[in-house]
Amino acid sequence: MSERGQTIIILILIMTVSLAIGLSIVQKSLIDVSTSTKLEQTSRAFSAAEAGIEKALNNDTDLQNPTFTGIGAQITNITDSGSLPPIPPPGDKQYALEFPPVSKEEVTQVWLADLDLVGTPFSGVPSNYYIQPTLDVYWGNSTTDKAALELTLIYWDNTNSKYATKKWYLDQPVPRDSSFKQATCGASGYPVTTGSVTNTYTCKVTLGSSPSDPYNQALPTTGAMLIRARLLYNNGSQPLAVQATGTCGKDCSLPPQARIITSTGVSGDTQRKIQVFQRFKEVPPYFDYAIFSIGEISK
Amino acid sequence: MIRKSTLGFSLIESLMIVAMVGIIVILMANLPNAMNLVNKSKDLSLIKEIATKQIEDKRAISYANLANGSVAISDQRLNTVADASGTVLIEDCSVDVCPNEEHIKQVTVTLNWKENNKVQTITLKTLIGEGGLNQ
Repeated sequence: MSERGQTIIILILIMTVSLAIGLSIVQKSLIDVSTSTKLEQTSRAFSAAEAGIEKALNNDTDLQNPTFTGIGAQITNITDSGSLPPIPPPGDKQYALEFPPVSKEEVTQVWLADLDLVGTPFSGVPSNYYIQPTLDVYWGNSTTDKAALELTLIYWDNTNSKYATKKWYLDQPVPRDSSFKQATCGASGYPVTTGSVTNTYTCKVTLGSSPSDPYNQALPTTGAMLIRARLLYNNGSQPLAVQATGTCGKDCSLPPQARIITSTGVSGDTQRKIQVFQRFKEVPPYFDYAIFSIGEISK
Repeated sequence: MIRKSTLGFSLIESLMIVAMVGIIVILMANLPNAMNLVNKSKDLSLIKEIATKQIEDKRAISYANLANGSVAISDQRLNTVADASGTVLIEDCSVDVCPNEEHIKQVTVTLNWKENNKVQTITLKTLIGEGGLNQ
């Protein structure tokens, strides 16, 4: 009598185990299929987003076709920020322009002359655009990986009728080299507003803020061409931002420096977004280490 | 007096056996199906990798060297998938997408392979423009 119950228990055990094994196999294969299908959709959406960027980069005056289909996936939107930073209304300060994080080897360039009128840049006096004697520069986002800053201003020297450079070397408190000046850096940082986003920077310098100090004389209000910025001593990439000073509208603003293009590709349920930060005409970093001359160089 | 027999199987036991045999049969029938699904997803991921690589390769070429036409894909990994073959088609961007005769090429990667004797196809399309990404 008592042995009969045992058979049922064993049978139920076997059934449970075999059911569990079977279900797990089926579930695994279903998950595999859905994952690989999603992956395929993702790459399709990504290709579509890239296609949108290509189109925007190619047709750089306007985006007549911000949404289009017909390339396998749909591009929901391509947006162009327009020239950055935008010109503020008189009375407002121009938004800062934040560059993508700069690594140790990279150089970032800020145009001060009118890019549309420069034409052949080294053939004569640059067309004035930024005519303020001061400019705010912010950099760094780390209190441990402390970055120093090298700035090179390239301008037209009117008295000698030639291009000349002026350099600033700025370091955090306790400069690591005697040729560096100490910048104002704070643990609390400096908030910088770039459009709708506010980011905090560790260090700030106002170029041209003390005309009496030969190191930081006012910026040339005519003939200023561009400023090249390089971070030193930093291990990781760190951000850099520049902001025009003054509140007089166009005359107190930097010329257009860049634009941001955002493209979103959609395939099935997946969406991929690509953002491109396009800077206008930029001299490659190795130009900083080479000598260029229109005429012969006399040694 | 009726003697209670302990020989033979009770109704419950017989029903359980029938149920168990049923479950095992269903499992055995589903197993090949599940294995096929696993294979299918493996092939699909690989094919997707190959297609993505083709697009990346084309992006690495300068725009001037992107010649219109269709070229068969040669990739060693295609050998591991049944009857897999593919082409990369480069053509000028269609008027619908590029109404201003922009210098843009449309790249279409098509890959075919067989899964359970059924032909599967994936298509990946993108645009590559003069002076665009990577150019």
